[in-house]
Amino acid sequence: MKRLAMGTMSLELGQPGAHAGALMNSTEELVARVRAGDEEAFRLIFDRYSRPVLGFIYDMVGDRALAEDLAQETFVRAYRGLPGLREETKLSTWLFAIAKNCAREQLRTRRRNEGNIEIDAEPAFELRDEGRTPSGALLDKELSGVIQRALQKLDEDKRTVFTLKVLQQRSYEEIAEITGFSVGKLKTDLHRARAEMRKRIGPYLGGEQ
Amino acid sequence: MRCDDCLPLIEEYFDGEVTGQTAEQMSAHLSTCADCSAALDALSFEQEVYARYDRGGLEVTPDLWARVSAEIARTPPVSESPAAGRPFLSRARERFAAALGALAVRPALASSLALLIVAATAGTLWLARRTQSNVPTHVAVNTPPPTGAVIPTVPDNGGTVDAAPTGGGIQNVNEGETFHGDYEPRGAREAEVARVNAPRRDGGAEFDVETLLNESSAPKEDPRVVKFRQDEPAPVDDAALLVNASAPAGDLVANAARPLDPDEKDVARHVERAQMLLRSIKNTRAADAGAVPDMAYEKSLSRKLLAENSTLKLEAEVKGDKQTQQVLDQIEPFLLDIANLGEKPSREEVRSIGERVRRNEIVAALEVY
Repeated sequence: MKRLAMGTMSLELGQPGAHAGALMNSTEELVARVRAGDEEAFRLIFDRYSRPVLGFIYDMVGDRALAEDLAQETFVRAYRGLPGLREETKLSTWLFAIAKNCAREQLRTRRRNEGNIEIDAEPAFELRDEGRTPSGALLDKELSGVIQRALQKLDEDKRTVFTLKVLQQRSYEEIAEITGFSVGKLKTDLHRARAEMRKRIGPYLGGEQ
Repeated sequence: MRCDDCLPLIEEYFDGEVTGQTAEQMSAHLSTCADCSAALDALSFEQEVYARYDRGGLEVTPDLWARVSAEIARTPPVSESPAAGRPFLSRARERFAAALGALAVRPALASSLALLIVAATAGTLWLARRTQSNVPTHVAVNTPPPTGAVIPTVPDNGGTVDAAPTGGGIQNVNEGETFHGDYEPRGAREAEVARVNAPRRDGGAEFDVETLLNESSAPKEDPRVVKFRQDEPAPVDDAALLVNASAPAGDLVANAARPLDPDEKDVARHVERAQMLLRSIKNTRAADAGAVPDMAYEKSLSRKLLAENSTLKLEAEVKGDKQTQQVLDQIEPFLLDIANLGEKPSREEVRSIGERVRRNEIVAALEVY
């Protein structure tokens, strides 16, 4: 069968039937159950949101192992902070806000320790200058590498809004809630981020058109 | 509308964030203007390219849940008392209301109390003014601190509410609004201990936190690269995995231990794409008022996904994989509705799909798949 073009993560956690419970619970119910001391409900929350949260953090920090550590921290913070969550319906936005803070704190630390920290020296993808190959999968891999590298060159604010809008399909309102930015600022950042990304992956885009 | 008005809004329009009359005008303009319509197509094309972005096999491993689970097991249960979960202000407000309620049934007591409060306030104000007038004026003159004196500085996080007791905390007011829990601020050192003590992916060995924090030569190093003690047993992850394995619902660990075969990955990727599409529809702001954003991209993607959906369903049927069939069945009606939207769909049509996506929590359900 033809390999499908898009994908973000392979979904070991998403084995069919593994989480039938999560499908039947609304966010509000899950939050209420966690508050009532039901830790299994928190696991369902984890199952539901860990994938997008991990993907978002990875896009922010560009390092797989670090993204996992920060995703762990995000969910631990979420568990501790859940009693204080006022709007249960906004659990997803709230989780992304925590994830964003974890990632930004880490990026700040990284900047402070620039040169003294051992993060993955290897790029997330091996990019080879061999021209285009007929394999769609390889093309996607190469494209993903280009996008990932271009993402990491954006400044933090732009990377945050670009990731949330373009890669996570969040609305402006949600992004404003997650980041605390005004809608005006996020629009400006998003516009500039798109322009920068376009410039960096332009040759690739040109080849596709 | 002219191009000068349309082009600056083209990204917002593409994002479904332009509503009302402006959106109607843009829609009308785009149907006749080649330049603006080309700009919109370029954005569509870019979005398609970004939709192919793959995080190189990044996946949520069972170990991640094991680590989270082990860490939260060390955290006190979140529901200790009904009031414990609520913010301080909420509880204070309740007590205040109760006190006022008591006064309401005793008018005499209430008036005496009010008089007492007025008198006390007046007295305090009079005393304060008197004290102020006695202060010698030269006290107000700033004197430079002696050399080497420590001048207190404003904390890094500016005193905003920190939901999570590590590092710089929550950075902005908006997030502060969402975190109304009764967090007990913890010192940076304690927070660091908690963070570093969290079980790690690399075998569960514990960091020697005290050494880490006291090491004067360490400031240049990131705590994440500090060496951990190899002589420590690594019971945390193992224990957590055992707990996990005995959990009543969803054999997460057992399931996750098996790598996905290529067909399953195809399904997963398909579901991922469908999920992004539905989220995009859900977030379309046309519901407010005005015209509908251009749905051409969504329609075209939906048609592709519909074709894939049928193929994948057939494969699942052949394999007897009922769960996958069920998920694909769930997606299909939404894809059909989007694919069948007219050239210029009405507000109602898009709103109705978005509403159904919201109501069914299909996006969240697909995230779980």
